[in-house]
Amino acid sequence: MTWRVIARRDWRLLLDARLPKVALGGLVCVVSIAAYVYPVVGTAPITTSRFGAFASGWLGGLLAPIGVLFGYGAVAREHESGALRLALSMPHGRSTLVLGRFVGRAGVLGTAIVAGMMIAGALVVYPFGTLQPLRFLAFVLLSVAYGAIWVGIGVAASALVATNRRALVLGVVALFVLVIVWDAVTAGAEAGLIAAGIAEGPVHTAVQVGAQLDPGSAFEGLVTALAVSDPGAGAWYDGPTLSLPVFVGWLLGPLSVAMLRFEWRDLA
Amino acid sequence: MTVISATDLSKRYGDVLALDRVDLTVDAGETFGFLGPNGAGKSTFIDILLGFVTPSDGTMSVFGHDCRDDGVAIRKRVGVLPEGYAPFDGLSGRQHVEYAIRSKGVDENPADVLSRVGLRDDAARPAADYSKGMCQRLALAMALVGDPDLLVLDEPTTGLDPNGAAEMRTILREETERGSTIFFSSHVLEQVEAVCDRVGILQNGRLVATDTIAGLREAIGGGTKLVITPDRIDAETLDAVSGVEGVETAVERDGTIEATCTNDAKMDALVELHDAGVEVVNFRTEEASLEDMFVEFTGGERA
Repeated sequence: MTWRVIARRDWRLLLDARLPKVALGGLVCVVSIAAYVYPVVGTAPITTSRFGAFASGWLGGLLAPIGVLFGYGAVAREHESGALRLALSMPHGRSTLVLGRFVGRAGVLGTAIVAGMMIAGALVVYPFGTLQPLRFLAFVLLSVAYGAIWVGIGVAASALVATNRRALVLGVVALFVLVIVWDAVTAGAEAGLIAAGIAEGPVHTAVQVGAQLDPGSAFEGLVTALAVSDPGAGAWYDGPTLSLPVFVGWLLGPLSVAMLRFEWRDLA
Repeated sequence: MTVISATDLSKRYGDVLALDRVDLTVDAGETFGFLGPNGAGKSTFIDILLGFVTPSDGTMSVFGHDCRDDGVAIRKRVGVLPEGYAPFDGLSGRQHVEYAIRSKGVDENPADVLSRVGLRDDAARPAADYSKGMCQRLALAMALVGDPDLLVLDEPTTGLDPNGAAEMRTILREETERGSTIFFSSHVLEQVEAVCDRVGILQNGRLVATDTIAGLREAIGGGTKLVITPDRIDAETLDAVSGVEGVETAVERDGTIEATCTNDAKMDALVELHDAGVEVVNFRTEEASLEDMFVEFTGGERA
């Protein structure tokens, strides 16, 4: 279980650095402010599970860049400096190294999310809100997993290239495509279909499905399903039938591809 | 028992053949010196040994494990001082050694390991602030954790002052006495000559010689070096000496001609200079050093 040794080292390094600490502090502040505002501007009933649907957009937008920020230096920084040679002189496999780096960094972000959510839960419940413990727990876990998706994308970018700058560029491009371009393209396609008078059929379904395939949409789809009483209502592609496998795919996919690629590349 | 075994090992980077069908074995308990001029392929060989790169052809195994497929099993028994590494950002010297101890799953006192390499007083400092020599000591400390059966040291004396280099030699002797095998790559030939039982000379990716130092000396015709101080040195003078039968190499150094040759050829070389109109001011004979042999085997390239 040498990934634990690596994760522990990365955990310590991340917490010693200034920028991650600022990002984590900002995250906890934003979550807390959202929880403070929600009972004021939200509609009744005020519950912790409905808070998830209220905050998922902000949270998603915030976790994506923080995750990439945490992940992009995981491997490439040491590849560039030469410290990777020292790391790989120890009895760690390459995949173990990438996994350890991912767990350490995602762990720091996840801990901050949990801390922020504990404050947020208290602010939502006190004085008039209702705690729905299982659904709130599910929302917290989904948020931690969503943060891990973006850390994984950052770590994957880091493992795929040889310099820190390239890893940053790759991570930012992924962020831009998945957060901004994806929504814009699918919204444009939907507008085109409406203009063409196509309201149903396979093309329409394909566009609707495409709009749910980015990590943010999958996260929001799952969080919304937690808040509604009947998650099975509506089209299948708007519910967890699609968003759950997409979410899991984003959690495991980029990291797995990067680990496979990193395992077999020359590191001269 | 064979510790390192390379068979028909080749590595190609695009059009460049970095290693060309290298066959090499290193046995348990040996201290093996790996020599070669810059770009000869030494680092590529070690990169393959450590699993950093995949060979284009051939195989390499350590303790019977394939270097590419079973690198973790190998590195559990190997201590590595790699070339071109940097310490981890944000960790002190002590934390580096603690990391190595946890990674290797052994129970050792970091202070003892750091004392051994002379870093105990600097253990709490960030390793990123260490000098090059201190970084080498730190990497050696990490390599020594867990009493490895094989030490792979790539240019270990880089950045070390003479005292540091002597301390490293002492540590290597202690490791040899403990029974460890040492694979020592260096361009500092005196270091190799001081600690190694056997050496391999790599040139342009090919292993041109593998033998004990005495064996290499024998291979170049008895290993005598004739050092001549002539009244002048020019290309014709060197050519005159080089052309004598039995003379392997003739190079100019500090106003002298250094010729490696057989015993029989020594007087012939002096006579040839006299016939060429060159006055011999002085001459002496020495046993050929490893550097002389290296020049001989690599056709004049310096390490």
